[in-house]
Amino acid sequence: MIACADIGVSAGGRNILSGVTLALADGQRVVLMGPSGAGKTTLLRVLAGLLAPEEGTVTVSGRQASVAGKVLVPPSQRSIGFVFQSAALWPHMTVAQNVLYGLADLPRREAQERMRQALAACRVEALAERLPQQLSGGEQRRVALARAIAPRPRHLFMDEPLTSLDSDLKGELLNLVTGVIAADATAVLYVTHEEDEARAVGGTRLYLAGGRLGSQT
Amino acid sequence: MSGRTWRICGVLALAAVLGVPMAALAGDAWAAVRMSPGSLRLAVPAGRSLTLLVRSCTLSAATALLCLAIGTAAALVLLAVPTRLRWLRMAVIVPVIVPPYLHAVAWMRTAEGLRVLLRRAGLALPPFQGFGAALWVQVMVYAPLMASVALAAWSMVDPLLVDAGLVQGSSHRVLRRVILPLMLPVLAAGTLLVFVLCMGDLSVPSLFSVNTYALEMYARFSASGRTADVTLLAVPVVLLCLAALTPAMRSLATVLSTPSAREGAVASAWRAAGAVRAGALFGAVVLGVDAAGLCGSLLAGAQGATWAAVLDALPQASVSLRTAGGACLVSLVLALAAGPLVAAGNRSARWTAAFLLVPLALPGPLAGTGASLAGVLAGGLWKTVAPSLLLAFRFGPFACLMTGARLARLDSATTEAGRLFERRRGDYVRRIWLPTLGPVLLAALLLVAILGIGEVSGTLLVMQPGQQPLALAIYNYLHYGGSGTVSALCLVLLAGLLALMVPALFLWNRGWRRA
Repeated sequence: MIACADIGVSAGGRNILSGVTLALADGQRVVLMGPSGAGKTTLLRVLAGLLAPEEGTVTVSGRQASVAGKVLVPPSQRSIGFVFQSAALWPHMTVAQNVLYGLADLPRREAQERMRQALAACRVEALAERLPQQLSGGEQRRVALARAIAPRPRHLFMDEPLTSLDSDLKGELLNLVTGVIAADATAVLYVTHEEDEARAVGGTRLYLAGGRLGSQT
Repeated sequence: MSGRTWRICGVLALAAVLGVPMAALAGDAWAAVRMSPGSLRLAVPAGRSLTLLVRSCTLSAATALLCLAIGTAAALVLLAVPTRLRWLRMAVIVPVIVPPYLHAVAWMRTAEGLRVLLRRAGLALPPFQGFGAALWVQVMVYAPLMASVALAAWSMVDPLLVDAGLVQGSSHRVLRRVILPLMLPVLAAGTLLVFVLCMGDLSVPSLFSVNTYALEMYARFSASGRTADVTLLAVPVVLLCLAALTPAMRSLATVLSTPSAREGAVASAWRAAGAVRAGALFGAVVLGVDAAGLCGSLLAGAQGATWAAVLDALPQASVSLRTAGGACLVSLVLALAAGPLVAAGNRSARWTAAFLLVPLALPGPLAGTGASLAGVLAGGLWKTVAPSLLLAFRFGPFACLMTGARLARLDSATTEAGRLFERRRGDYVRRIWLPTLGPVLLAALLLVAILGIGEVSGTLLVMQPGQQPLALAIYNYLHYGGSGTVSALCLVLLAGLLALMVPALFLWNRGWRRA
C-alpha cells in the first residue's frame, strides 16, 4: 500500500497541492482526474519520491517514505512502475535495453525472460533491437508501458499515458493498458482528464482541482 | 537584397578575411616546396619536432582529460546549487574569460607565497616550473570552460529521462547509464575543444619553460622569418586539430541549435550521492580555489601597482580596444554574411562550416604568420589593420557559427509571417529580425572582443612597434620583470574583460530565451 497524508506543495507562491490525503491499496485502481495544472503530475511525483513534499508524509507499506522537505526512501525502492506523459524512453538505448534497465537486480537469464514477456504483453517484441527514435508514437507508448511493468512493481503510476494520440491509436492502446492492468494484481493510479479513459480503467475515481482532492460522483 | 546576392556577399567576405591569409600561407609553402622539395620533410615530424609534438599532445591531452573530470564533477555540484545561490555558478565559471597567462601569473604568485610559508616551516618546495606546473595552470585555465560545457550538456538532458531512470535504479546507476551517456557527445566535444586550444597556445608553456610545438613555430619564425617553414611545420598540428574539431563542432552546433530541455520543465530529482558527491565536491572546490586564487593573488599583487602604472597602461588599453573593436566590425560583416550560409542546412552549409573550422584549427603563431605574410603581400594600409584582421581571422568564425546556429533555430513561419504582415518598409528588419538575432549577434561580437583582447600568440607577430596592446605588454613584462606594472596592467585588462562579459552573458540569455 502507498499512501500520503496532508500533502502540501507550492511553487512560485502558488499552492499546487494542499492537504491532499490519498491511499492506494494493493490491487486497487484509482483514476485521478482534474483539469490541466490541477497538480495531478505533482501528486504522482510526490508519491513516487521524485519530489519531496513541503508538508505531509508519504508511506509505502506502512514505512515512512517522505516527510516534509525530505525523501527518505528513494524512488527505486518504492516498487513503482511509472509511465510518463511523454514516453521518456532513453534515446541511447535500444527497446530491449530500456526494458532491461529496471531488471538489473535479477539474474541475466531471468531478466531476459521478463523483458521478453513484458514486450510480448505490450505487443512490441519484434522491436526489441530498435532505438526509440526509430519507433512511431504509439510504439513508443507501448515500450514505455513494457518498461514500467517488466519489474512487476506493486504500484503502477500512469500519467496521462495516451495523451496526444489520435483516437484510433488511443482506443487500441487503451485496450492494451486495461488488458495489462487486468492481468496483474498491481495497484494502479491512472491520471487522465478524459472521461472515456477513466471509464475504461474503472476503479475509484478522484478529482483534483485547485490543489485539493475530492471524490467525483 | 536577394538571397543569392546575400550568399555571394557571404562567400566574398569569407574569402577576403579567412581565405586570403590561408591562401597566402599555402601559396608560400607551395613555392618553397617547389624550390626546395627537401623542405617538405618539415611537415613530417621526426627527431626534435617529433619530441615536441609528442610533448604538446601529451600536455594538451592530459589537460583536456583532467579538465573533463574536474569540470564535469564541479558541474554536478553547481547543478544542485539553490536558486538564491545561482551567482555561485557565475563566480566559479567567470575565470573562463581570463587569458591563460593571467592564470599563470596568479599561480606563480600563489606558489611563491606557498614556498615562502613552507620555507619558514623548514620545508622546501621545488620551484613552480616545468611540465607539471604548466599542466596545473592549463587545467585551471580550461576547467571552468569544461564546467560551462558540462552545465550546457546537462541542460540538454530531459529531466523526465532522468526521473524515469530514478524510478527503476539508484542515483549511481542513473548517472552511469542515463545521464553521462546523454551528456557524452557534448562533453567529448568540450574535451576536444580544450585539446585544440591547448595545442595552439604558447603563452603558458613558455612561461613555465616547457618547449612545445607551438612555441617552436613561433621561435622558428622569429629566428628566420621563413613563413613557409612555419606553415610546413604546422601541418601535423593543423591536421590533428582539424580531426579533433570536426566532431567537436558538430556536437557544439547541436548544443547551440537545440533548446534547453530544462526551459520550463520540472527539475529532475537526481542528486549526486556517496562517492560521486565526494568527487563532485572535490571538482567544485578545485574550481573555487582557482577563482579565489586568481582574485586573491591579483589583488595582492595590485598592492604593488600604483595609480601612475594604471594611468601608464591606458594607451595600451586604448590599442587593445581599438584592435578588438576593429575585429568586432569585421566579424560583424562575416557573421551577417556567413551566418545564413551556415544556417541553410544543405551541402554548402556543411562546406561553409568546414571552412570556418580551419582558422580555429590553426595554432596562434601560424595564424600570426599568415596575417604577417598577407601584410607583406598587401603592404601599406594592411599593417595598420593587420591586428584587427588577425583577431577576426582567429575568432570571427565563432561569431559566424553562433549566428548561424541562432538563424537555424528561427522558426521559418515566424519570419514568413513577419514579411507577410510588414506594412512599412524596414518593419520586418527592425521589429522581427533585429530583436531575435540582435542579442545573440551582439553577444557573439563581445565574445570576439573578449578573446581578442586576451590574445597574444598571433598578435606577437603582427603588432607594429609602439602599438603594443595590453595583453602583449603583460606577456612581455612577465618575461622581463616589472611585477607592479604587470599587476596594474592585469587589473585594467580584467576590468575590461568583465565589463564586456556581463553584457555578453545578459544578451546571450535574452537572445536564447526569445528563440
